[in-house]
Amino acid sequence: MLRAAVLQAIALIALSAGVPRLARAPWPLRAPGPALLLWQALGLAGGLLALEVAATVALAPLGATHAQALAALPAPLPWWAQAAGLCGLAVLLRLSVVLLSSTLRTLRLRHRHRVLVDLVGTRNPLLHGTHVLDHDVPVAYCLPGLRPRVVVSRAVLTALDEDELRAVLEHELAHVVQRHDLVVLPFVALGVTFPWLPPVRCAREQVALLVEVLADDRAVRRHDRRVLARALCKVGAAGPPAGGLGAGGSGVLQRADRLLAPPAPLRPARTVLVLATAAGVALLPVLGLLLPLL
Amino acid sequence: MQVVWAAPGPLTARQVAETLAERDLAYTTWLTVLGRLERKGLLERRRDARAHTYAPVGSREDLVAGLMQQALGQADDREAALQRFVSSVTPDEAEALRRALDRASG
Repeated sequence: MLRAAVLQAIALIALSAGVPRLARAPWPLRAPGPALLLWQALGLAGGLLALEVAATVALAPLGATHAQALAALPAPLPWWAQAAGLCGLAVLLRLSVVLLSSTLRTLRLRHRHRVLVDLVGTRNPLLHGTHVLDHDVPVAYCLPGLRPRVVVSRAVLTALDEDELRAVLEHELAHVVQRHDLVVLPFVALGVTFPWLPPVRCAREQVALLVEVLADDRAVRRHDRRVLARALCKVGAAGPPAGGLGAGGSGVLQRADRLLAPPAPLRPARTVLVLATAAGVALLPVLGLLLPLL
Repeated sequence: MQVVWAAPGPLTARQVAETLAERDLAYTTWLTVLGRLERKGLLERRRDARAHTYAPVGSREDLVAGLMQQALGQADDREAALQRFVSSVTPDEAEALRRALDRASG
């Protein structure tokens, strides 16, 4: 069992070591969808493996496999096994509490925001019922959910021409239709649970960028790439200058470059390789549980 | 809300009903509506001589400003409640963006 725990830990460390390399790699921008799947697999496997290491160490004194050890419970455990078990439980508890509370908080915040948008925003029937806020700082965003809203400020209407505006709205609609909020949510919870872990921060930033790239891709299906890039520049540069966290790392430049000089999509063979890797990574925790049986 | 915002001072439910007489809703309906808006923190209820009066907690502009603050990520948006088209960029990034666009169009 302890040998299994060591192997699980090695897998966990290998995954975390792979995170910064994946974040630096250029290919995810050529295949944002498969890359997102890989990130999701990494997040899932990382979280589960961490829990598994703790559980395996805690159960090691009681039997040769997890099943045997669980059957032997309750039984006295040496202090190190107790410590490992408690750590695992604490992480599990914190993860579930954070996931639940951040979900509830987000839903509440969104609900309140939507109520106020409906109250003070004016609906523009010419723009698919987009809500317009009377404000002279440009901003465009969507409130995802079951009753989604796409919101722009008046400054966006004056700053962008009609084509640019339609491209922006298409981008926001892509977020709504593809439920990107659900993709981002677990990574936000991971980030709140382990804010001090660099791989977690890294994953969160990359997932946020890839989601934007996916929405860009959908928008340029019906709109000119340069039009969307121009809108990106106009809205981004006209807002208040970025400060504090995430300044400079917003990925806006990467998105603009990608729109202006689109890289060739990943070759099918490579895409399959990425998907296979994602599946393999997602299966690692299962393998970890089977290790003592081998 | 539009009526309460437009009014010079606090209104009673009856005054709201009179202003919006064309809606042809019962007085009690207006009480319910106003009560709901109060619970949402949009209206403030005061006890006057005979009836409760309602006044807006914030102006329309205040509410828009609050929404904009949330939208621009100046409020605590760690939970990512909304998805913005583009986050604010640093002056350096803005410059680089402009250059990239010029290159593309030139």
